[in-house]
Amino acid sequence: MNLRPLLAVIAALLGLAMQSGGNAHAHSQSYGYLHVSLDGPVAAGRLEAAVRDLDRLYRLDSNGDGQITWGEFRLREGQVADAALRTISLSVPSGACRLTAQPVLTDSHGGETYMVFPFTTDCSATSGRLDLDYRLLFDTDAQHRGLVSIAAKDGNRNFVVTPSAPHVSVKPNETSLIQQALSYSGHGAQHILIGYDHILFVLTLLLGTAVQQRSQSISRTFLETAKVVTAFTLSHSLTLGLAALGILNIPSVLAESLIAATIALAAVNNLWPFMTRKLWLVALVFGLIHGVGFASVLADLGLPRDNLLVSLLAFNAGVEAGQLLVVMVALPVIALAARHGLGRFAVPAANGAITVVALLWLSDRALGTALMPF
Amino acid sequence: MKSLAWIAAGLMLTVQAGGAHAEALRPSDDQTVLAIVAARPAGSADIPTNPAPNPQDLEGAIAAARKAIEMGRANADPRSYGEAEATLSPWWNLAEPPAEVRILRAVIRQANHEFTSATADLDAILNAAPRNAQALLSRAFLRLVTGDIAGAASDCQALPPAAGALIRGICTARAAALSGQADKGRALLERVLARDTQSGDAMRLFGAAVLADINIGLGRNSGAGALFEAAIKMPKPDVSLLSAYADFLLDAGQPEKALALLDGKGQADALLLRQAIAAKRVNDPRLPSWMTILNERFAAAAAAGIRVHLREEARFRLEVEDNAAAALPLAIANWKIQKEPADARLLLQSAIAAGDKAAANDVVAYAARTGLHDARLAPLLAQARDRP
Repeated sequence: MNLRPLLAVIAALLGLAMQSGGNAHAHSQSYGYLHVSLDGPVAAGRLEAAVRDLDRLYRLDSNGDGQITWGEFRLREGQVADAALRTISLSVPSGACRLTAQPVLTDSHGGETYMVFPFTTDCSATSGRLDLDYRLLFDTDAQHRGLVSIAAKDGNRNFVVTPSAPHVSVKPNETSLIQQALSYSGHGAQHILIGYDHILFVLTLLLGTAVQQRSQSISRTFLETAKVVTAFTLSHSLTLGLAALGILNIPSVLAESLIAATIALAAVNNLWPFMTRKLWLVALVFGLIHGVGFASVLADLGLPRDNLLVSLLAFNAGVEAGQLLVVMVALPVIALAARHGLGRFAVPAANGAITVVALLWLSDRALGTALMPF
Repeated sequence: MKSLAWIAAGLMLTVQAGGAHAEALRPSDDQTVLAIVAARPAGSADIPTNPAPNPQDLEGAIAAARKAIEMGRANADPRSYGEAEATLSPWWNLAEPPAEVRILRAVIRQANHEFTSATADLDAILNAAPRNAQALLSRAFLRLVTGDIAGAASDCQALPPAAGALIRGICTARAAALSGQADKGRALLERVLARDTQSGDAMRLFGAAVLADINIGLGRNSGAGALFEAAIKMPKPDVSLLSAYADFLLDAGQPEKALALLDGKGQADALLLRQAIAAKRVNDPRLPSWMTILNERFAAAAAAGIRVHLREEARFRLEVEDNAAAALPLAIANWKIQKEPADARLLLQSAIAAGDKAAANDVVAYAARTGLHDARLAPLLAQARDRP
């Protein structure tokens, strides 16, 4: 025997109608999950709520047929995600975090489908203290429980939040400004080293410079290369900063397409200098576009509202360091090849190949084709 | 260049995969059904505002809470009790809430297995109004669960005639059966059920389930089987009846029949547990997915500090996972809270299977003290007493 018959009895005694509404798909207690990650540069996370619970709050079964479908949910995705994320709040010592909803996913816990609401924030993950409030279902279901987990570099912490204790406060190991800056530098360097389109652009300019300078002295070649690299650095830093601060706003599809175009144009210019023979000028103008591309990476990474400038400068420094590494490895090889007669066939062939690759990228990015495997 | 790019692409994929939740995905088909809920009128697509309970509207809150408790009972849905509690929130934490709120608070606390605080509420109500039928009945059944059989019997006796002959009969018969007078209880309940003309289906269903359980305790299995067969033909057999019948079938060595009985009846914890036990015995391919679901629920309950599932979890560890060492501490913790024959049986089985008969000493002493005699317990009690 178990307790439920007792409730039947009580209900009967209270004079309640024994109506047989509802359905047999009853499940268990109501749980919500909130994961906050302090591993990355900014605090981010995901809120997970059972579809049945979201239906109690937001009436997801729009057509009332008893089935909540993904189609029904998708039509109201943004509205529901915003409403659900408003039931939690995160703050760091410098103030409340702004949560930005990402595309919703689904998962399963205890035999029920859950909606997963991933989010990013504008709060630094390393400000030493995080305060969190969770009230997802407390006004509707006093026995709802929030299972909160906070992942930080120094370990994971788990909490249960209840209607009478909806608050969590953690003090993960504080990271110094220098450590935070190093982390952003690492991301910047990583981006240029695996961002093959930027590398290809730099290599194209190196190739052009090496061919132009093949009869000059070694030191002259290095000086001209330094001019080109410096021009590229100055211009992409400018647009990276402007875009990261929200002053410059260019759609990422456009920026990515233009980046592909700059590579093709630079390669063709190496073969027939139809624009200019001053390669530093090519680097300066086209660098403006590459900077917007760097900024979109930084946007995905997140920029903390506190110490925004340090993070931006550190990221940029990382990009420059990565770029310098590429130049130091590639320049001697390219310069030697250009000086030892390989230029006659290999250099035009390389420029031609670069043009083709860049045009295929351009098609993939601008027209949505899938001609390139990467 | 190309290989470098491939390496780069691979790196980026790795980075992305590492950042995302392992299982979460975005459905591609709009027809994917995410959940089944009760059908309701169309056209309410807007986000409804959930008004906070109005502290001025006590009657409205009580009516809403009763309705939620009724839904919880009808659907075996713990979430409804949470809704009832939320409805009563302006009065929930008062030391002396209005009597009507207090009895509902006791019912909800009881459903959460918070027996001590539920008892305190009922005691307080009965101190002020010793003939309050709702409180008497609640306390009688609470005492039956927590092992105060003599106290339960006296509450059953004190029930006013207006409560109805059937419910008084069920109460008294159950108390008799749990104190070594099962024959007397069976005769009483059979008589009352035969005479009853005014009770609703749910009440008669409950009476039949109690009578069937008394029959099983007496070893009269054919009588119990007939009662169950008749009961499940009634409209809306509830989770407790289905669980009791499934247990009867499992004990009778008919797991296939138990699986057929529970098929399509939903995934309430109690039903899923019996399905898993039956599935294990017949090597049903659905077993792994049922085990995963139950394990996830037990893990969530443990993380949240919720102890309503102790009995189910202990039985799951013992009978589905064959893990007596994990079952025993759960069965011991459960026995501290609940003392029904099913709890006694679970602790005896776990202790014997774990090779630690002494862990069941308290059950042996309890049976001796209360006079509890039950065909399902007798061989286990004998085994537990039989120590070198």
